[in-house]
Amino acid sequence: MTSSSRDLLDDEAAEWAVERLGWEAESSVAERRAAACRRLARDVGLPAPGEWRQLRLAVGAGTEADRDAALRAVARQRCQALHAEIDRFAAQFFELSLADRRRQWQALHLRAAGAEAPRRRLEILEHGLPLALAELAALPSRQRELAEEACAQLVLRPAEQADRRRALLKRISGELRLWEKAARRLVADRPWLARLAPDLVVHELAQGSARRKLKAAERRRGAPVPTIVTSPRMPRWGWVAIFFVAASAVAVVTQSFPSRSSQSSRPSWSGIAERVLRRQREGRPLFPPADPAAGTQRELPAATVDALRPLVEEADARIRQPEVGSWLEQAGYRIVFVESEPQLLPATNIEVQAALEDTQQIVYRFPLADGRECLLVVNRANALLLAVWGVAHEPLPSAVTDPHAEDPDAPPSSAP
Amino acid sequence: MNDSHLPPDLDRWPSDPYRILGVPRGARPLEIKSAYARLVRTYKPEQFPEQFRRLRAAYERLRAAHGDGRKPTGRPRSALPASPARPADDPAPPTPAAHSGRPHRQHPASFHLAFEPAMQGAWEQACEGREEAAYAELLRLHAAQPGQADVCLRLYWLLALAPGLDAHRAPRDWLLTGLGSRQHGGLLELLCREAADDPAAALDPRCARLLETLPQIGSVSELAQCRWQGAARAGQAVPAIVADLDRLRPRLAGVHDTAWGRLLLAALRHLAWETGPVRAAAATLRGELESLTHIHRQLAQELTELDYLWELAAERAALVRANGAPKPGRLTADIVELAQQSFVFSQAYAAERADALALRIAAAPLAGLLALRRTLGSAPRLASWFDGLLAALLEQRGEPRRAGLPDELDEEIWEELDAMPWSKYDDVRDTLLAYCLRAAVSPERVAAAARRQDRFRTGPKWEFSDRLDADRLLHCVWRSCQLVQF
Repeated sequence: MTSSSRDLLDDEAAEWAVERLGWEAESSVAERRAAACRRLARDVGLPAPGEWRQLRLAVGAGTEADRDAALRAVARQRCQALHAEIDRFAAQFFELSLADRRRQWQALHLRAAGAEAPRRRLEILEHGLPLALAELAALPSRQRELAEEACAQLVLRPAEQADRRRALLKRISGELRLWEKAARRLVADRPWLARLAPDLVVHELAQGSARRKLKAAERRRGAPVPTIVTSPRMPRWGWVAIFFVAASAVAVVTQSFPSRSSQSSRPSWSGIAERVLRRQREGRPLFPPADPAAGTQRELPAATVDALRPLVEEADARIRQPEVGSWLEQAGYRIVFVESEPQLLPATNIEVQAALEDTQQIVYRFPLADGRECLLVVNRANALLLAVWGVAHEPLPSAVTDPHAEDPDAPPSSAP
Repeated sequence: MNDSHLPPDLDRWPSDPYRILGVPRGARPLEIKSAYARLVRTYKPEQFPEQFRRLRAAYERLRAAHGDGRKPTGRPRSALPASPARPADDPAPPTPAAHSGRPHRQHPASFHLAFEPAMQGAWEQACEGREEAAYAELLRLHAAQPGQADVCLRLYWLLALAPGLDAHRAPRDWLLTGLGSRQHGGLLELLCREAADDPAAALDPRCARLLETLPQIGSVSELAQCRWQGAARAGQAVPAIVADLDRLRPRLAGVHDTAWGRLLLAALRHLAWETGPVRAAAATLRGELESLTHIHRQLAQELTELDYLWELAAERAALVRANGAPKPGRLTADIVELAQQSFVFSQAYAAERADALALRIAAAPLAGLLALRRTLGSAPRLASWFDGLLAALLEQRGEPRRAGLPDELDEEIWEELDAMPWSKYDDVRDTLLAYCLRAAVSPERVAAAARRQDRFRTGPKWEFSDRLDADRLLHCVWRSCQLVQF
């Protein structure tokens, strides 16, 4: 720690102590010393431990331990104050003009530089910064209602959000399909609105979790499960004809694409990554011999590398670019956590190994064009657990498995 | 702690020893003693070291006043005189005489007549902002009558507030000088604080020598423990403990067995975490403690805590054997270190540092759970300890209780559980945590709801509630996320 930063911390601790002691903030050190002597007379020369520290800090004579204790208290106090201010800001979030909203957000964000928890809450609110409620008027009615609900949930704390979401799902349980449709449209057309309340819009509605649970409950209770009514009823020969047409189409497709990669709902890059991994496991070179004519072209398509690049170059270790987040979400991944600390990559490999051993997580490893590597750890629910990148110093564990994945390099399956 | 009249926040404790002990002014020694004994049962030194220290100081001050044969009337006499510019809420000005009442050297009355006003005058100068003059005057008084505890107390404070007054001394020098071979509650308390905070004070050889000369056995033990805490801050606890135990064994072992037993317990809080020969030495000390069967009843609670500590330390040793020495900065290493600190310093000390860990876990709950499972999965007691710490912290911060969650929540939880891909508990753990976080429902609530439904008592789900309740790591992650929210 440099002497100037130490001085700053000393000043901060002294300021806090003066405030706690109830002294004038503008008082000089000499005045504080005199006040300390008067207070000591009152405390019989033995103040309470907290006050003992504060007295020394207030006159700039605190020890390392005094300062640590004070700075922890300052941080906690500041964090609480920030939380309260963010609550106030959130309460009037959509009533503020866009310029005011952004200005206040920036001011709070600056102040939250050293306070991780308030900063995270502000980053959630950041999604709503460019949004004017008037914009929602142009949406179809149910999408508008859903977007308004998402806006209302954005400004709440997690517990309140959950209560509100619960109440809404209960209210709309009779027409869940319509809401799901609206949610899917919102995710496809206006992902920035879906991100305001991803648990409601994406998880419960667009992905159909709420309906699945409702149907399961109804099935358990013996109630009739709502089904899509098709009318008019199709004659039996129609189904037979459709079956033959479909079977022929499947045969043609299977011959054309022996790898059956089109069956996977995952993005194309995951298939490529798996192929890379299989090659590595089998001791084959990671990349096919470079074609001199192709220059430095690698196995990964440029589009994949481009999509990953913001991940790699983001110094803040978070997916902040909406387009990357949206891209991953569209690819079926729910982003739970992204971390990157290149200097900790060897350590992270250990965590990755643990993940593999414990829960058979799937790891995708991407060689990047600039020679570094990106690891994505994905669990069975297709939730992205971890993304790290850098230069691996330790070999990756060999147990990278996904039994459901197809091997594009494997011979075509003989199954029909 | 509910039966105590003292507020939970130590900073809000009164400074008046009578108010601390909750006895009226003019209370008899027996009343003071029983009040002290009652409070010490509440504020046990192991659990509330700071509170205990203050109680002890208050008791010693009152006892000292009685030791003089003078019945304390009104406020105890201050070691420091009241200032001329006394705040309005200050109690009546104390009498200028020294308060300690320990066996002072006998001086003629004329000496006191000249000495004490001079001391008071010096302090009044300090209160007016003339510290240099006050310090010089007090130095003069010290030269005239070396070792006067009240002069040393004033000199300590002046130097603590204005270190530039004397480049050749540290404030604690005056505490050590004042204590000499005499007991003085205020000086000893301040020295204990200095030693616990500052490794330089803890490792000061004079501080070690003082252990041999302090007349009261309880104070010896208290100073030794503070010294070890300070030394632990510099990673020097083991040599200090070994030296102090060697120094104190002839004086305490076999003579003051309870005090010796308490000292061994304090030493084991440091040594149990060590490995190799130090751990072996700790086992020997534990054996010695076990052999003092006649004090086991008195120290029953402390011995139970020692058993718990021993198990935690054994788990840590097993982790080290399995994974190598903990790497600083890794989550598990930090949790283990925190557990160690909670015994070496105090639980409050550990709780203050638990925030940062909670934040790291909450930043990536699922990855945090994975990391915790990998390392702490084989250390259930450490996991349980950490969970307890987080729970206490939440309680302390006033975790908003979500009373009145609707009964329909049970229904929602059952539906959520039904939708999970069940084969065994481990398969749904991540999904379960994700649900708890998304729905803001605690794992305890989920387990309770599952217990209320018959269909979770069969098949792979039958052990669900028990497993969930026992899954302290999942609880840790949940509580970390809760802590971060406010």
